[in-house]
Amino acid sequence: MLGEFEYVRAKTIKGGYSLLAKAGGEAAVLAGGTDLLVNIRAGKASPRLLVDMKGVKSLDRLTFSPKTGALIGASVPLNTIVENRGIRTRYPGLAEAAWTVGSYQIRNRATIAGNLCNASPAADTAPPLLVLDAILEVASPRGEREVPVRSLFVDSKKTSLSFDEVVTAIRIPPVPATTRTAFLKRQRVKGHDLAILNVAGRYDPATGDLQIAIGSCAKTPVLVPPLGEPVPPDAPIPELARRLEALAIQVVHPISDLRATAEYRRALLPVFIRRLLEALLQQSDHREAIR
Amino acid sequence: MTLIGAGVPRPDAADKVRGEARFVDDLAFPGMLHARVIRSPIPHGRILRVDLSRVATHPRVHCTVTPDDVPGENVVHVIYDDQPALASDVVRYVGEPVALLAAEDRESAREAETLARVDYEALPAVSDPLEALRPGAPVVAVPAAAEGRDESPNLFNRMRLVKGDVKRGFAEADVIVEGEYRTGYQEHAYLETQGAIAVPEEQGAITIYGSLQCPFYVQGAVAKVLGLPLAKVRVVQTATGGAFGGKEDVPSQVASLAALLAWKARRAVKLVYDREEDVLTTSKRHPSVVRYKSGAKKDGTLTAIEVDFVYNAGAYQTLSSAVLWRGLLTAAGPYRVPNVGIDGRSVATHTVPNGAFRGFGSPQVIFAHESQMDSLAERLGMDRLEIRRRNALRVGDETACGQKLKESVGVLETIERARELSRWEDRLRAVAAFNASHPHRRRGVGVSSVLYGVGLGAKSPFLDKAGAYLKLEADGSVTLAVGTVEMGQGLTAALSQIACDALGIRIDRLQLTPVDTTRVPDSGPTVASRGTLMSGLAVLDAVKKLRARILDASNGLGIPEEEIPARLNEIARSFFLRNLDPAVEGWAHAEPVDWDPETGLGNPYFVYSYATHVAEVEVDLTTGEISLEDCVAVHDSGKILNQGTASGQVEGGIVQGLGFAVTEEIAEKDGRLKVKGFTTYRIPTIRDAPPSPTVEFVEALYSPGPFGAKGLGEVPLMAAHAAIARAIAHAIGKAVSAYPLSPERVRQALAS
Repeated sequence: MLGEFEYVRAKTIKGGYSLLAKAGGEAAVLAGGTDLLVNIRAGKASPRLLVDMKGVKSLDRLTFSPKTGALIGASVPLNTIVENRGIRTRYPGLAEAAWTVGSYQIRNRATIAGNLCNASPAADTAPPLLVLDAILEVASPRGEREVPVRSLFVDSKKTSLSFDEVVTAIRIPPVPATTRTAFLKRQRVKGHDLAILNVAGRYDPATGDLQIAIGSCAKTPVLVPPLGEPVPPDAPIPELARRLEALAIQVVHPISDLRATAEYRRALLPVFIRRLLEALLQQSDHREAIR
Repeated sequence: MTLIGAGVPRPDAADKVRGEARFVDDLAFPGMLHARVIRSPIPHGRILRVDLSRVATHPRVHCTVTPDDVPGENVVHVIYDDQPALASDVVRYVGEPVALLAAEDRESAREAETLARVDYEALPAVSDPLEALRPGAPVVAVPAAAEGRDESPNLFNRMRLVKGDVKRGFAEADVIVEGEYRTGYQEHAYLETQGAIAVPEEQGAITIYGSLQCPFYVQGAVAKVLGLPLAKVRVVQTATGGAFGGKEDVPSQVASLAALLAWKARRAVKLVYDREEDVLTTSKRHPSVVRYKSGAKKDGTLTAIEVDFVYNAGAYQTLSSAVLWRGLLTAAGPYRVPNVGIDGRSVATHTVPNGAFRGFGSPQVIFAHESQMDSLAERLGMDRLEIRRRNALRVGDETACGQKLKESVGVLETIERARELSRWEDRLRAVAAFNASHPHRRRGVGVSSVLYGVGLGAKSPFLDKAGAYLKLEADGSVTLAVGTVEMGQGLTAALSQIACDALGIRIDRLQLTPVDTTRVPDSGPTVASRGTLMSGLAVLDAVKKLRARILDASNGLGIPEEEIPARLNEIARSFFLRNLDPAVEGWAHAEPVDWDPETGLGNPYFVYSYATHVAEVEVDLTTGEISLEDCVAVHDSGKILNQGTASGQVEGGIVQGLGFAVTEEIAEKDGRLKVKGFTTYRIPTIRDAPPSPTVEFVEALYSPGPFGAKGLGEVPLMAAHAAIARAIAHAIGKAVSAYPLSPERVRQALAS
């Protein structure tokens, strides 16, 4: 059951952050609401005011061009991202991740900004956005600023954003046409479910640039420290996987929860790193491994 | 025209698809209050003080109820009257109701709930049934409910079945296999949570509207707790969004609590559980430990079995004695076994009372008996289908409890048809080839054959009856009332078909009324896969009586018999004009059953249904992931009245069986269930279902049944889970002995 709160539908970005500033930390931004309303119902959040930003026209735009990259407005629902041709062809790992969030109905409401700002360690869109160097565009009474996704997550369910800041868009820098991205997720059932482990990677065979990120394995989604050298497309995967695993365990701290034990997560880690490398370097399709 | 077989679209489907069916939470009555239950937060303790003063002064709270306010007996009446409606001195499980409140709106009720103050003296608790049986364990059971108290104060029931000479049977065996099998909780996960509305009526009566399977159980329970004659209690079933056994006994508790508040408030009171409350505080499938020893000759013929099984009943008896009984009579499987020793115990623990769940105490022993059959086959180098075929019961055989089967034994046909439909030998070869070609993916094929005693049997023969009320309206349309319920299984379609087929009328000319205890006599519960069979017979009886009157009237009108269906409106009009009685009552009762509690032998059920499932799975050896790739399900439930709904039941049972065997788990620690709704309790999704399962029915007709029908509802789950579990064992080449076969368990098995 929902407790009492006020609801305001902001018409402008300024109107939105002004309300947040006035409420002094007792307000919450309502984007898709698919996490927020569940948290309110469960008593985990009790905002006095909900500021709905979906009335701000400029926030529901998604633009893409190969030259400038993607600009995803904060109110754009995940299904729109999944269906966008530019995203699918240039950032397939992100489209894949967005597609695994919730069910179709949930994705008609849920947004990528909300997925990030909820700051769940298991947020599916976080690992691909981490490897893509995505940037949040943020507005507040103090003006506009950019927050790299890499510095967004502070702790489980905690971001570096201030209470009066509104995310207006997520900007994904352009990548060369040769860049490959991939996303893999282990969940308990094949239908919609939270991740036991999710991983994303970006690889460019032309430059040998490789970056991977891991979710559900620490208090926040984490970027694995770089190898420090280019990776040729014919690099032997077992050895590469071992090196990345060694780097990964410096930043992950798997825990046991009701979805899986820490031991199981730890055991999945090398398997998923290897599969991710196979997907990136050999372009093998691991989504079909288990139908 | 026949409506039997292919069937008709479900008359209740369109409203449900459009969202127009009205479930209990969609209903409201003038002045209706909203209830909340104040529950025990500890598994065992003495109640020192219940202070509701702050609750009562909440401006929106209308009243509170404590045990002192109970006008009748403070019990939830099921089989034993050991469970109080409200705990008065001792609490025995987390979530046990202690007090009640009713407020003007739901939010206020929720708010007021937090103002209750109850002080407890925590007492030592026991949640493991084997520990609860040890001397010196904390005592859970109310002494009068512990039938086995001479042995242990926590032994609710012990039942034995002894036939032949087990020792000699094992001496004659060429091979003996032994195993221990464990299964965990399973939550029903019905779409609609528990709910009831109690409405005080004139002349000191009360009406209950609720989501339920057993209106007459609820009638009895409410009458007892309010101290009213049965005639003062009317129960109306509302559209029920799934039940699976979870709404067999629990609605008696929910309705009793709502009724206590309504009685004190003299206003309508709604009590609807939220999902977390429902999952934490209502019945589940009994966790089990089953030890099983089987002996067979070189040719696979079973010579003896010895079974020892223990079910965790939870804090109160509820249905556990009946669940245990069915476990006892299912433990041998659908096989001829000359020498049998089965010993079952249901044990009280400080956990939520477990109850009915599709299969009712049989899935636990089925996992064991089917694993044993595979172990024997392996030791003997026999094909797994072949060993089942060789031992399968046939007409004229005697079951493990000594019942001679007179007719309608289709298990052999299910095995043979499953072999053909699954292309068993080809499939085994294909799987072996697949496994040879993949580094970390393994496929496996499993088979499971089951028997199911239809109806309540000799545990409660007085319940296997049913009534029907049939009325010819003045325009030739027909009103039908029965006492068993639609809960999603398709009973509305089946009974409408039976009546319309016999009367020769279109399905839209008949209306099945909401189930209401004032319309028909006690028809027993809608459980035990008995709805179509028992109510179907009652409907046929009513139709026979009405048809005789229609024939009389048509003779008088000079209407030839073959024109009756087309001219039923004329005939009905003549009933009206000539003051003829247009209404009849139908009645049915089951064939006699008998059972000797001393030996466990007898004729416990009047007929059995059977099934054989073949499942194919794929296991990822690196992650332990399991995928159900295919399933072939062959059932003998006698005549199938509606192929569509029957196939739907089978497909649903496969998915629910997959959940039981693989994905569904509730961890328990110190009497607390570690579960919070569906984010932590994972039921399979439609993507987890096999893409195109094969469902077929072999129809070994049961002559007393309606058109030869037996029962189907529970059997699909019973057969599915074990076939899936055995397929996993086949895929990984290791023994599996505990549900759920989660990826982590599979990895452990692989490492062993």
